[in-house]
Amino acid sequence: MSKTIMVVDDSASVRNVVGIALKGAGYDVIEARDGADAISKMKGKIHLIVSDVNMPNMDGITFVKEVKKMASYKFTPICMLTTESEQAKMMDGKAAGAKAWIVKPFQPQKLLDAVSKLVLP
Amino acid sequence: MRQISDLPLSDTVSILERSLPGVVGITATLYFGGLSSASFFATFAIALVTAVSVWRAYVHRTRSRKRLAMLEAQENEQISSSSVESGFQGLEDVCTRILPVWSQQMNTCRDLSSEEMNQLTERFSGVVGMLEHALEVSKSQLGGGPNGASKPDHENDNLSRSIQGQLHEVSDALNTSHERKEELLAKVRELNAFAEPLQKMAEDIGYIANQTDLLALNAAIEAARAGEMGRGFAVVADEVRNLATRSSATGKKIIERTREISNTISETVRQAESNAEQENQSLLRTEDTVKTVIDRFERSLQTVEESSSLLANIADSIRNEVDGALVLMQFQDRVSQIMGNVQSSMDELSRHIVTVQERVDQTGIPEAIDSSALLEKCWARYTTEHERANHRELTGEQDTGKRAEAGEVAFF
Repeated sequence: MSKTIMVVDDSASVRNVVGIALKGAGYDVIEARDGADAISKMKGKIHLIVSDVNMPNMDGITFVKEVKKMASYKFTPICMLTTESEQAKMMDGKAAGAKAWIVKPFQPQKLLDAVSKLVLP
Repeated sequence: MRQISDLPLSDTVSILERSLPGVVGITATLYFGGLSSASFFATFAIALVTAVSVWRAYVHRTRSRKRLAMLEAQENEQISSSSVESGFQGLEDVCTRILPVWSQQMNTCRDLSSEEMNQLTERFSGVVGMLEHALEVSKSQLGGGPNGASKPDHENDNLSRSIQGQLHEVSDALNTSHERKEELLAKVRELNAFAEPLQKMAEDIGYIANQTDLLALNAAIEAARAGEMGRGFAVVADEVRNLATRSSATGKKIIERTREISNTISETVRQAESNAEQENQSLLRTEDTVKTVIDRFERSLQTVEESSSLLANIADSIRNEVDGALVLMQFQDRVSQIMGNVQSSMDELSRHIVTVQERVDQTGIPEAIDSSALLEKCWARYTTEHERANHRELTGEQDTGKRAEAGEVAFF
């Protein structure tokens, strides 16, 4: 049974690009345009969340904090995928509970390597 | 008439410089030329008055020029103040009327590029999906596994060896059968060898029967000579002759049958040898066929492996190209973020100018636009390293923050 990964990004093109890479590796993908949209779509088993940081409605860091409050998903690993490269921002993500931080533009293979390390069994 | 006070300062000084030596020279000439003392002093007084007049004119001119400069400065200041005011008014117009238009145009650019890029990536996703499907089908047809991966070389080698072994088993079975038939034929040939002794034995039986018949005839003659006494012996001799006759007939039959058997065996051997020769030829042809089939299979296998290898290389190249394209397609996200931040900064500037103007209108106290605060807000909005690098380059700010490289992965 294939594993499910939620991709949260306000850019549809980035969601598509990430989707191409993940689907090509055999993962099922759920797409959401921001943190609030993602929370409304969270149901069933989600093995990993890949989220942008700078998004309207609910930014990535707030989204991570909200997910960590959800009983069903507090142990779901979250990988931030963002143009943001500042160390201070990365530390914010770590403090919120993110497990990894990838700076855009990303190499699909590096994303897949990171995903394979983070995804729940 | 032109007054000396109207002359430029340089002209006045020049007149003074030229006239004083002349006056002094004329005065000296008159004095040394025998002019009276009264005339001399009168001339000197005229010269002195002239010099004083020139000096006063110079002083007056200097004061006038200072006043004029002052007036000009005041006038310039007024003009400058007026220009600033009209310039500020223009800037307000830019901020309240033009900046929103630019902002809206930029927003449209973002929306258009986002929408088109979304469609482009969706189509690209479809193309990638079709390519992967085509590759899977091709690999499957070339003997690949269910997941599209081609069989490893050692699996193909095993398959080749297995098929070779099975075909050789068929060939070996045919050989074994042929050898057994040869053995059988040898036995049949041996049977034929028994026919000659049997015929000889039958001839011996015939010879013995003839001799017995002859002996029985002699016995019958002797029995006849003996008369009554030999009557019983004559009966025995007749029986012996009958037996001899029958033995002779049996011997002839044996010879006949033995000849028939021998002929049959010879015919069988000849037929068997002919069959064996045909079988041998068939076996040779079978072995050739097996070898040809194996060779063709191995060539086909090699072709399949080469095609599979080529396909694998093409698949790798396509994957690399797809990965490269996926990296390039992420540009729209960064461009959109940068344009969005510029748009926000333009809106911020527009609001700030309006606010400042409103305060100036209310208080009447001029207020400067705080560009530093605006730049700080710009900095706070940045989400990409490009924006921060540009900002640092243009403002001269020091690079103090630590950051990750593009594409870098950090695990916490």
